[in-house]
Amino acid sequence: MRIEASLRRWQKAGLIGETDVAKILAYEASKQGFRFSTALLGLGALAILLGIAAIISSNWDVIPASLKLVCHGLINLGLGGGIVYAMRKGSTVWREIFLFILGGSTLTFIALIGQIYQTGAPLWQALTLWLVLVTPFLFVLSRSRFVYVGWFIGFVVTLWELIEPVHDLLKGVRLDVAVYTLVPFVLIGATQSVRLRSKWTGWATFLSATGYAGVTVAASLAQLAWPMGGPHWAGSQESYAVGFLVGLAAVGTLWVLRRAKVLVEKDALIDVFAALSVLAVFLPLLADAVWCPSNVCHRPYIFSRYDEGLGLIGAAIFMLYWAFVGWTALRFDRRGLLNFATVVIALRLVIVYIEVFGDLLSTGIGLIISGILLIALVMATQKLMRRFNSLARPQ
Amino acid sequence: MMNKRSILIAVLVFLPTLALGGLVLKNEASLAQAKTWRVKIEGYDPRDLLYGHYLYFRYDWVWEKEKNSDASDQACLCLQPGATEAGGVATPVVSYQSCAATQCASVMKHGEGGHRYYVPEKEAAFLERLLRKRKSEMSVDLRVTASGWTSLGELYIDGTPWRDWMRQHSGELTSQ
Repeated sequence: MRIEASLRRWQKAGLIGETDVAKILAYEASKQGFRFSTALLGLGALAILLGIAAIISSNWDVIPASLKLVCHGLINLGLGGGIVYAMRKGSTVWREIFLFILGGSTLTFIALIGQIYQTGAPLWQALTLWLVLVTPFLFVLSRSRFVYVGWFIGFVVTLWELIEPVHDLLKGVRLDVAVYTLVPFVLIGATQSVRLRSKWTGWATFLSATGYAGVTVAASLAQLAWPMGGPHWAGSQESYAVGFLVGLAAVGTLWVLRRAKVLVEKDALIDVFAALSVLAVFLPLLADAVWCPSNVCHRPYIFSRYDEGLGLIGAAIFMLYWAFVGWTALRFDRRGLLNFATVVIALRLVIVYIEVFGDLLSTGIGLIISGILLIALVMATQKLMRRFNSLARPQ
Repeated sequence: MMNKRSILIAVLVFLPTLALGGLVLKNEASLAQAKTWRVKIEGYDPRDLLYGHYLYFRYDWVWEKEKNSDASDQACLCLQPGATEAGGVATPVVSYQSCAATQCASVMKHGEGGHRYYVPEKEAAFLERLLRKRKSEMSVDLRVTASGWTSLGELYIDGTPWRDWMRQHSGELTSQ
């Protein structure tokens, strides 16, 4: 057991005694069994859900449409009854299982209605309806991470499917990019509200993290997208500019709300990180859109080989950004995130050499250099971690 | 005796299913008032991960005048009765109109481009091939409500409901 190594280390440092070690190990051993059976229950729930989806997808013609609808409706009502019963009995595991299945079976019910009535409605409509119907009961009743993750996957897929209709609706007023820019900041702002955190800590912590993760992913993807020629539809410069201003305004709003104690107190560094992320997303996209309006490029001669010069700049911004992510993680004592940031920088460094150098000789030399740099980076990180640990140890 | 919390929980977990049940009833009520048209269909190039699980088609419209692509900004198709098929169902003659047009028998949005028709999985691949090869004439019942909401009804192959056609041609199908 991993925790045993930590316990022995603490015992050796005189922080806990032999009896404490034995008690903690015994308690953890009892939880392992519980966690394993819970995981199997979760897998069983997922299998049931996928089975319902597969049967509906097969469009089993033998069953009349009205019977399919009634049966599915009764299954969903039965799941609702199961949730109510589990809550009255205080069974958290069964509550979460039933909530997970009901969340998924609401979507399969919507799919069944679409299939029977052959409405041809676009996928984004079905997903949006699903989100509106399941979010209230999942938010109020669920406390488990696998339900949070399931809902979040559905949320992201819905946002993805909404890109085109949102663009069609808002491109005239250049607000399409701004709407998507606001999404992670609304998540962060809503879930860091002092009142909401006290009632729904689990959801609030999870969604706040996904908000920051969304901002990080956007900043990272932007450095990959703009050197390859990001979206250059007509009016994209204006949309990017509006999105940029909206992003900065959102960061400013979060800072103000934090000062007003509407949001939970956090180190100002987190808002600096958000602001730098907005800059990292939009400045290269805006610069590229100005240089290449409607994909007709007028770049300086030095960048005439499009994929080399700009690719290197994109990679450099990417690695600098992730170095900042790592430093922020260090300041917030998130060692897992610091290690992850190190791996991401290292991988990007290796990919740069593969991107830039064409022949085997240059690629080989480049890989050796990047390997040496990688090892140096890891050794520096380890030294940093040891120094951090020694500072954290009580004197 | 249920307390407020129990009532809230019951409302939260049952409401989505009851809302979807209401949607089903609304669809049934709408279809009872809908006008049915018989429209020929032709194959449409699929760009979908689920290709092979349904038919992907486009309507083979009969245009009132030569199709005016510039008028596609009008956003809606106006359907007027053309020839009458067996069973008294009319085939439409179409033109682009404003969605508020009152002189049309039916008005619908999104009449162009690709559409899906869900069929049982084991028949989907064969029907899709039949549609693309154009050896048989395929058509579909298109039901349009007064609000422009559409729903597809029966699928026909050479004027025969597809399930009957498959039964009549079962000998050919098993030999393929």
